[in-house]
Amino acid sequence: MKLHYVLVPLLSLALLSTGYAEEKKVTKAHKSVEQTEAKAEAKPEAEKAEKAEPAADKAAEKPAPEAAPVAAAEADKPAENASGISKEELRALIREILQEELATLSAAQPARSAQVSKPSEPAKPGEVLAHTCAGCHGTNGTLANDAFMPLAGMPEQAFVQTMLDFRDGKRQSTLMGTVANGLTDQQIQDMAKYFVQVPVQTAEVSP
Amino acid sequence: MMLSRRDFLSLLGAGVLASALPVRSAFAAAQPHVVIIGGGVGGATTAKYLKLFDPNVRVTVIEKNPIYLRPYGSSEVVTGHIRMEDLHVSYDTLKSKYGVEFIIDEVVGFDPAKRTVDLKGGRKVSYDKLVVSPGIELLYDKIEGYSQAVADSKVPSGWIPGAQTQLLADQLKAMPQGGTFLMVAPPAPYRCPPGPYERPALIAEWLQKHNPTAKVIITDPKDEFVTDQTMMLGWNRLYGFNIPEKFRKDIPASVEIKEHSTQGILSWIPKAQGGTPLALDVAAMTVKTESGDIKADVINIVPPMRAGKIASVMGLTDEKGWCPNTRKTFESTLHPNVHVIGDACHADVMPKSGYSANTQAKTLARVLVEMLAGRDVPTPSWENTCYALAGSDYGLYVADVFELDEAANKIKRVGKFSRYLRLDATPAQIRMGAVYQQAWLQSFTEDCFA
Repeated sequence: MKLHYVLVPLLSLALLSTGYAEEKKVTKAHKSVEQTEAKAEAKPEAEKAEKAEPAADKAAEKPAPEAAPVAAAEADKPAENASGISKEELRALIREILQEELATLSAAQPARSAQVSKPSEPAKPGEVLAHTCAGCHGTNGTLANDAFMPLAGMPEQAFVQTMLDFRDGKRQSTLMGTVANGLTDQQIQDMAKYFVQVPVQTAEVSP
Repeated sequence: MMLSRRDFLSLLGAGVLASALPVRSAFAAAQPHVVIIGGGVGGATTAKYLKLFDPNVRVTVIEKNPIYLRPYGSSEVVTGHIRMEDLHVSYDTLKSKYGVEFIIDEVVGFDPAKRTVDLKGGRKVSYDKLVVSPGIELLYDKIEGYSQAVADSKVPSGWIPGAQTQLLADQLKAMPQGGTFLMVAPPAPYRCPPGPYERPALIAEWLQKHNPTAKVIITDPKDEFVTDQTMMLGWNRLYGFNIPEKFRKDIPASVEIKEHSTQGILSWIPKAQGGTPLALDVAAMTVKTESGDIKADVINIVPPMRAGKIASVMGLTDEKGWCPNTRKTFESTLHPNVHVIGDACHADVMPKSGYSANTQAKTLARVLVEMLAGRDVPTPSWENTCYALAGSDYGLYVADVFELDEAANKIKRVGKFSRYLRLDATPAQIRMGAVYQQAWLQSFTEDCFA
């Protein structure tokens, strides 16, 4: 999250400086032919790098020491630019990132801070299949209405036996027979293992 | 020069790699951005499950309407069982609980090389992965004399819920005693396979109470339809419908089929009997079919359809009007890094249903999280469950479990049981189907949107 505080002021300045360069270019364009525009581009980029430096200092006052090195990276850019990024592209990109960073800062902040940020984990065995049940049995089997069986925390053996009974037609159902009949023993066991470890106390029950 | 947002950030970071490692790691951790076009069942479910699987992924939904109108169950508005407002689904929980960002706008342009989409409001949004879940576009003009303007004013479709749904409800109420309601069923493939048969059934039930001398006619360009036998058994028991011989063959002898001496309130004209619709004469309120003209007081047309319009605009559709993809990942075969799900995509035997879109969305969310983490994509699993009603207390269903045939790039159905309600289902099973249908509307909406 700290990254946003560094990026936003930095990018704002970067955008301003490319804007300034744009104005200069327009007056030039009156006199010169369009093809010479390419030449004009390296210069504004250098200006921008200069301007970005003080911004980095300001940003550094806030949370992170990362800002100054970022400015150094900016200084590298004219060289990169020569390799083919047009200034328009760069401006559009900076503006876009700025918009997005601002949106991130304003809109999604409360929700993000409320969530535990951890790296994603691969799907557990049975999990992919278990999510196919959720349309009726609730997300992760944590159900919020009383017509269907909640599956979260169901004892493994109870889940397996119930599914086998549905599958073999021993237990009357509406569509559970059809659903269970499309599953293998292994798949049913994997699903049972998944559901039993879903904590029931954090079930998402609506008021 | 192609330069994505992530490339740009890493470019910024690259220059300082030697001197300041913390910066590099900060940029390396820049959130991957998944942008989802369409906030229906497919889009909303993808957004929610992406956040469940990996809260670090940034998820933005671009949707033109600030509130979702659910199509599933919307025929209940026509009969006044529920109101239009009951179809409203809010995006608030996806925003507040999961941190999904929403942009209420329309996509007007797309640059697959730069990975950006342009919005009507002027914004440009860049993505690492793009999900397109645009639903359907109704092709009103495919029926001569029909058009969106006619549908909005006189002969509604209501297959995408909205003002046309309310118009149809109003027309039904205003229908003269002894009048005729005509349903023009669509050719396959179409959204909600049992839907064009459930709606007339619910209307027949309503008419029995409020307009008992009225008639319901379904004219159809097909000779069979999803749930046909089980739906017809319901019609037979409830609306005086005589089941055609063709559909009686494998009904067990123990199952009572009523023989009605007079034609009941509901009738069905299949293709073989000239049911294919040819043209609409709005002024005369007449539909011309292969077997002649049908005059009606209220006409409801479900026209042919194809993938939602934005899919064609973005060049994601094939000559059939649907989106080709690699089934394992639902990644478009026409544009990389773009994944199309829901009614709009080709999915073989998977019906164009909300439940299909919901389970496609979850496998896609898993695919994207694994792709972004640089891991292998696990074997996908899909299911479908469509509850349908032949009457308020008469439930039936379609249920499927699917698996991937990766070599053939096909989705196959697995299991030996019938997809449908048993033909010899007990009254209790039939009643429970209706109870579950109502409960499903709630649990399903929650799984997608809350």
